[in-house]
Amino acid sequence: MSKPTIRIHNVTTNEIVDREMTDAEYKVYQDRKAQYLIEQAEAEAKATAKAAAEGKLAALGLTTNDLRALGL
Amino acid sequence: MAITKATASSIAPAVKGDLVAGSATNDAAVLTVGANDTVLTADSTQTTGLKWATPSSGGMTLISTTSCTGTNVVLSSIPGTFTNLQIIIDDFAPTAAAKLEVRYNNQGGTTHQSAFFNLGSTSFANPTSKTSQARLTDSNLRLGNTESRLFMNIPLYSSADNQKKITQFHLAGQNTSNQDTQSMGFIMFQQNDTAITQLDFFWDTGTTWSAGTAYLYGVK
Repeated sequence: MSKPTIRIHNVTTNEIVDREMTDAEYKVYQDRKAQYLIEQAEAEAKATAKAAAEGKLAALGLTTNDLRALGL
Repeated sequence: MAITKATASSIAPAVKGDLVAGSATNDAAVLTVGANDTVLTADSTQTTGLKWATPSSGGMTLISTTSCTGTNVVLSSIPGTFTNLQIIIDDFAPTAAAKLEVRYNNQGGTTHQSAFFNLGSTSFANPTSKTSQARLTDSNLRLGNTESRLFMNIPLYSSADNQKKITQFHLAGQNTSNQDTQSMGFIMFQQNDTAITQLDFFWDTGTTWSAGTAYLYGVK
């Protein structure tokens, strides 16, 4: 399987090279993607928890504005 | 004594533009005219104490123009001959919604710190988990929209002293809800005693560039 390509522009010589990532670069790339997936899962979990809390408030006839009014 | 044309001609050289200048006490020498567009400059090592020299250019010099493609766009071998660097990436977009990030000198570890405001809201983002690179926006930029523009300013980028290297930046674009989004903030690069010679630009999701042009300027 081919690896992602990177464009390297040597701005001193003005040489532009498009090539596949090396193994080391590919590992960094995969680590970065894994970090992105973790962040995305955390963001989704946070959004789900917020929606659940808002649902509980609504069941009590309250809104987040009511909590703010109470200084919470 | 009044200097007449005849008097001046008697001491002046025959060639157009040449000058007579003092070379020592009670002595003079001819300074041959310089090349077009050179300027007269004091130089104590010269016989007459003067020389013709190319004026040093101030302002900005366009170092490179790079069309953005692939996963990473790398500006390498950045010369250290300027005082500041300015980077503009114009009309850029990812091929799938993503956030733009940058890495200096291809350094991992905990070398980067960044924080920014997303304008239009009160949120202040401090993506401390992004220590191997710095994030430039907290909103996913949408694919296919090439109205985005990034501006970065890196002062004293080539100094090898022990001071922190700082960057200010401003990014404007459109998010995945087709809303205008802007972020502005700073990056601190922790490799204190090494010049910045390489900048890698890429997307947090690992997607590729669908468009964009990176302009690298050196500022004297």
